[in-house]
Amino acid sequence: MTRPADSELVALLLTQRLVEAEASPLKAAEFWSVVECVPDLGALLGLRPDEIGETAQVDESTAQRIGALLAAATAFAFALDDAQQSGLRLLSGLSEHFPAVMKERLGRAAPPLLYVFGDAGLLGQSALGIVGSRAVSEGGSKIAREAALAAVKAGLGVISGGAKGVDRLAMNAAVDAGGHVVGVVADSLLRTARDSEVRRAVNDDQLCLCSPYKPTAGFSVANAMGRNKLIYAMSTATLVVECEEGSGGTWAGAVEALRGRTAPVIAWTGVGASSGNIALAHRGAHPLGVVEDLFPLPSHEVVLTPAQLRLDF
Amino acid sequence: MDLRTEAEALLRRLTGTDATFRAGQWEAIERLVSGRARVLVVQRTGWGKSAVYFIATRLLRQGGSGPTLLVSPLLALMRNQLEMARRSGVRAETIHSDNPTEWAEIEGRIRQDEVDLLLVSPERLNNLHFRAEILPALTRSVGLLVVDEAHCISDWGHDFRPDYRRIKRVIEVLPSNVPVLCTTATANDRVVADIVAQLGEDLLIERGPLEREGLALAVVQLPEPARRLAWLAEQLPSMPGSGIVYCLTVRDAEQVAAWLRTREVNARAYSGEADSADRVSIEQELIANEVKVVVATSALGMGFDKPDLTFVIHYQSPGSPIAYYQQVGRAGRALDASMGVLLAGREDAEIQDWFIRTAFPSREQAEQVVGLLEEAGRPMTLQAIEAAVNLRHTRLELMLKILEVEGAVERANGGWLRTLRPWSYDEERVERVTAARRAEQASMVAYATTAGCRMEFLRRQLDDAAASACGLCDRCLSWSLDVPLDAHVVAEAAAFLRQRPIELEPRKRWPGVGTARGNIPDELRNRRGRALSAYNDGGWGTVVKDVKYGGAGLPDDLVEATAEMVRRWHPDPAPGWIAYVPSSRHPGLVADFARRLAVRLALPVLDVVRRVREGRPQKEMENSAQQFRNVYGALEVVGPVMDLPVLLVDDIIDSGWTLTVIGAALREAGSGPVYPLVLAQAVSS
Repeated sequence: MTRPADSELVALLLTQRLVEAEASPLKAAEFWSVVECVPDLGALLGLRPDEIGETAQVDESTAQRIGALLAAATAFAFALDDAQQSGLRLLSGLSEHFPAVMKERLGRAAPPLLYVFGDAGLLGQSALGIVGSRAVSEGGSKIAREAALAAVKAGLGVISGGAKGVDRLAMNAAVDAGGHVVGVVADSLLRTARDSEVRRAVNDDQLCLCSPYKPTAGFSVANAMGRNKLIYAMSTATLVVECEEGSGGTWAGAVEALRGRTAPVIAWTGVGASSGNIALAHRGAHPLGVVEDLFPLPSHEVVLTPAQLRLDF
Repeated sequence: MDLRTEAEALLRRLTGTDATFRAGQWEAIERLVSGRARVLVVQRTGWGKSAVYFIATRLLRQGGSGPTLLVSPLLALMRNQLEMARRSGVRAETIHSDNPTEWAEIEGRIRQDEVDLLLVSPERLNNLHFRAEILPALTRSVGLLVVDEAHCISDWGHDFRPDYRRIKRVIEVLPSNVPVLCTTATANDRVVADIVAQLGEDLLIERGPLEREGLALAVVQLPEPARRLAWLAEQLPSMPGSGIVYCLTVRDAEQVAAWLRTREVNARAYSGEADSADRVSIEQELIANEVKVVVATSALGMGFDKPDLTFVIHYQSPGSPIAYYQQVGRAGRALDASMGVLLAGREDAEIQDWFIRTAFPSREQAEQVVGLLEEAGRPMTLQAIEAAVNLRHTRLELMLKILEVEGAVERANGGWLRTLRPWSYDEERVERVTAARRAEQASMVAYATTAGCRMEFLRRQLDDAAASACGLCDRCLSWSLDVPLDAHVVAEAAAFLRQRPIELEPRKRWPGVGTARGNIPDELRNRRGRALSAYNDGGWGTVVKDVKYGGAGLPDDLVEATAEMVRRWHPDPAPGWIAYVPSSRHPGLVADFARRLAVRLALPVLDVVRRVREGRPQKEMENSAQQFRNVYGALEVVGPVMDLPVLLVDDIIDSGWTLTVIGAALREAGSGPVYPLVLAQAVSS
């Protein structure tokens, strides 16, 4: 392995949660605004707090925090090595494999750090997002699988959430068909990755798991919602297979994506469509009556307002 | 006060003299302190590398930096160095396996930021508690990282250690403003290039000449172990002062020390197998000249510092010129004259070959272990892995350690776990390192036979640009230590090598396979037995090797020596008959031995042990559980036995399971107590 550049290491030091520093890590918005001022983050190394404040255009207390975060370099080097030895990779917002389309769509709300298991090159591919509830109907299962197969046939990747139900069905179908799959997971990245089928798919370069959360983090609603946002932001367009109107993560995620106009949302409105999906179509989701009509994927301009950037990483 | 003046004042405090900096010392300190840079110091022992990191630590701490982490395998050396550091105002501590009672207190002081420098071994860095509790507190704020004996980082280093690979990777992910100091006394160009690759191009290299003034080198070709023993017995008493005799194996070190004691030479054996309190006390006896010679393995290693060591003699040749330079270089650091003698033996190559062959796990074994853990998907204990694969306990542990640094497996609660990293056996690396070791082995042969200056040869091996003829060695001055040996002493040495019966401890527990679990009951357990020799030991053990693999018959004197051993041994209660283990691969060998022995001891011999199933050779079974499975049920006792104590005879003992299982079966069939008796004990046991 080649030595990572100083800028990459600094980006990780400012945002990592593997070791506790004397200050709390920079939040997404803080991180991206520092990057705008100091494109080569390595320039922050060895500076006094007052110099950091001047270079990065931050207030005194933030400058102090940055100094304290950088001081944990040695402790972090050991922890980073441990993580890498376990097979995890830490992808900073500055890394070449950091998904550009997500950064473009989320701006300063984009997570500044991704924990990755597998080939990070898969994160940047054009892909169809596929989401839906855990307790999926038989008809929904069929749509999830068919949509995944159609994406593989069209030369696209598949992005999903790694949860039971629609997520797993779509991902497994794509892997079985020889496709490339990204799993954005909200909790227990490490445990998920130890699954032998997951490992096999990763070894065959067909699967990449990523998460903006600590690899040992447990389930939380907030993290699950944050994960949904990333699926929409990374996918060229996202298909909602099935959801219940007004409740559950799938519904909330889709509504948020529509409201924020983050990325195109497609709702299955064909045979057996759920009430939630019909409601989504009313709210501006692209309706889909037959799977063959998925392609070409819809696209539209993305505009974000500050009020829509509520989720923080 | 400017930084240099301050540094010089610290140097004077440190040394207690009005010393000034040697060329290179101040430059290194300045680059570390003012430049937060990376420095590699390649200088001979005694140059003053520790002054660089102690003074740099003090100055960095004054400037608000975090504590220094000093990684060194040389904890022995450091006992007095830490004392010295404290004198200069550096609050230095160490955490290692011998001072656990102090850990809590030191940990507390680290948390209070009251420790300026912590010395740990590379192994400690991999300790889970250290990593979880102490390291984060220590490295909370960036400080100096010192890697001592940095040649161990390099794959090309002659004593590459798995634990150093982690240090190498950690350095790779340190931002460039973290000061790092690597030090070594023995690095050739290739090793330096390897370290530079880790530290980055932007570093200061301090590299000095490696001559050892006053050290006279010589080589004596003495293939026979008995002749080397005789040489030592005759030469050591006339050598002034005290010194070290290096051997390749623990067994040789113990044997040579025992021989020297029979010749009234005050000798102590030193190896990694002695406990650490013993090692410290032997080191101290040597330092105080209370012992003439310490016969040691390489465990008496880097960092043992006795400035007035008069001689270093090698009973066997080490595997590389760099290792040799390092060991022989311990002689006469503060003396005008000292001596380094290599006694080249015929078994050297065989022992070195064994070290080279076993340095890496085989592809099949490594893949088996990784595959096993991958299938398990959860942590497996060492015992569970051992029961599933055919690998000796210590070899398995070593392999897991190598696989761990390769990122294939990791420690977890309850044992070992497959990591998420893809892994494949690195054949290319194994071949590359093995080829490098072969080349080193060849240059060690070249050293022994060179017509040119010995010291110049060694310095060229270390790419010392200033290498030149020393004007002292046996080649430069045409002298020789290949003196005629007293034939009587040689004969006594040969007899000594042949008269060292080995006590065989009976196994006390079943291996935990199938129904064979728990303690072996007293009434089924063997008594303590005897082996005439250690396999291929230069004495009877070499005769045994020739018999077993050379196809020769059993010579009479071997049988007589065994009978003589039994007579001197006097097992009590005395044996009343002889049983033996029939071998399928050498039909008749053990039976013939047992019958001829029986005649000499005037005991009846009964043919009561039968092989009912073919096992694989026991030596191919690598661990206890596998060895047990291989013999269990393969042999059984048939026919009536005598209700008297019995000598149970075999040719070679390896794991001891064959004799344990048959011993128990004989007892169950009604025999009296069982005494195992074998010609040789295998090296691996």
